[in-house]
Amino acid sequence: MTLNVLQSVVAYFESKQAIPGSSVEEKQACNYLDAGIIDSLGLIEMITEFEERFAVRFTSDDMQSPEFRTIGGLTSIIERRRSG
Amino acid sequence: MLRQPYSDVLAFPLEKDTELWVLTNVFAKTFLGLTVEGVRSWDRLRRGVEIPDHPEEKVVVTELHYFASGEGLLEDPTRIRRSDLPAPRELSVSEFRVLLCDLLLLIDDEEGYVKRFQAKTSLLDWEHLGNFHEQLGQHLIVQRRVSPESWWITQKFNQSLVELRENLYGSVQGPELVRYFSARMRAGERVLDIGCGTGFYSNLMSQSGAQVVGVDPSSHYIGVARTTFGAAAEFKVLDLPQGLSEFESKSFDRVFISDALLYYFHPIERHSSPDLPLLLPLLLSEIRRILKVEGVLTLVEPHPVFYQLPWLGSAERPFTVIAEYNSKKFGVVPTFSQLFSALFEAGFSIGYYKELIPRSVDDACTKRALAFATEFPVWHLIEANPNQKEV
Repeated sequence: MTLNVLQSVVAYFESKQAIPGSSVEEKQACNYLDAGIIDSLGLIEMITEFEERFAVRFTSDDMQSPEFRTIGGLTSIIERRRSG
Repeated sequence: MLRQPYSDVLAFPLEKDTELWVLTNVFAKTFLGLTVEGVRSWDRLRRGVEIPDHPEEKVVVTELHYFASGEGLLEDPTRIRRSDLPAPRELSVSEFRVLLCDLLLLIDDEEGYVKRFQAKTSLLDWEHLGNFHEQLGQHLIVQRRVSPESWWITQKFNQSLVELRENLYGSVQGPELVRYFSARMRAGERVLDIGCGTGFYSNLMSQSGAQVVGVDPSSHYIGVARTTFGAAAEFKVLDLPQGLSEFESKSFDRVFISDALLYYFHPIERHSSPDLPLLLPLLLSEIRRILKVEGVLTLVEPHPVFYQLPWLGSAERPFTVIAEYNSKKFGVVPTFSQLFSALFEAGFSIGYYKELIPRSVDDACTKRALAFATEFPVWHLIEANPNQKEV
């Protein structure tokens, strides 16, 4: 996992609300919707923001994967899209 | 072993003269097009007959399932593409099994299957089917990436916003309300349009001679209402129902609510947070307070039985399958008993009742929509009057 993508994704969520957990691993495991960091309408904004920031396009399958729901999983998807 | 989920799956020919059969899970409202041989293959799998995954053993499928309500609330809610069907595909038996499981036409675990029908925990929850509003929200926000607020306007009105679209809104709801306003509203009556949206019906009531105040919690809708119909009525952004406290007691002849009361029975956020208090009693008591003694509450709401059920059968002879009425795992409209009990408990009597059906068959709306709405009313209209005795 590239540090700058992860840092950028974590910083995005932390700008909304503190991510529970002290270690990087705990933050990566955080489910940002369940944790209430963003709500339903914030989801559109989040998706658009990451697509623009990293010049990627999430597919329907990406968004339907359990990976998409955690900060670490989302970061991995962004990285795969960037290298793909 | 794979099997049929309970007896939840039906098979029927798509149209009278076609060779295409459709399998549907009547609770999940999923559909798959098959040849009659494909239906036989499904039938063998559901009975536990193993079909060898031989390279020459192929099953022809037509993937016609899609989320039809994304096109509009009054489009055919049967999740079947009826035109521009995708080309049939040949699948291996193992691919066929996977597709049947994805569409809940076969399952391997009945306990897990029943859990699929619970409320969604979030918009990224794909395991639980959730109710209609959750499915619609997920489709619009995550898959189409449009805000439900702006989508709602375009699915109901033409671009000008002064005409309803040529679906059942334009063929049934609009003309029936025009007739109702002209028959039952008195010139000069003072009307409060609660949940007025972009002000379409506020304007029509004003044209019938009423003095209308339209209120809605959405500043976006009220902005549109002021721009489009500002000369006809007064529009205000108002938190509902708390904001109604600003109106004086016994100050309106009529309160009008269309396609909005249902949200007070099944609020979107309460489905996944069942402990949230219902605002319905406060709304109804506030309406009773602001209505004059001889005042009228007019409700136009989706019909409790038929809203959002598939329009199956032939276009001119449709039928539907009712898989739930009380449980509301999918449904979002109160039952008759919930609706009437709420009104009675709030001190109202029912003075007038009508199920809305199309008057004419040569409308611009599709034949299937008109035939369905003629047999199964999509809306009902209720007049409730405050009882003279205080509650």
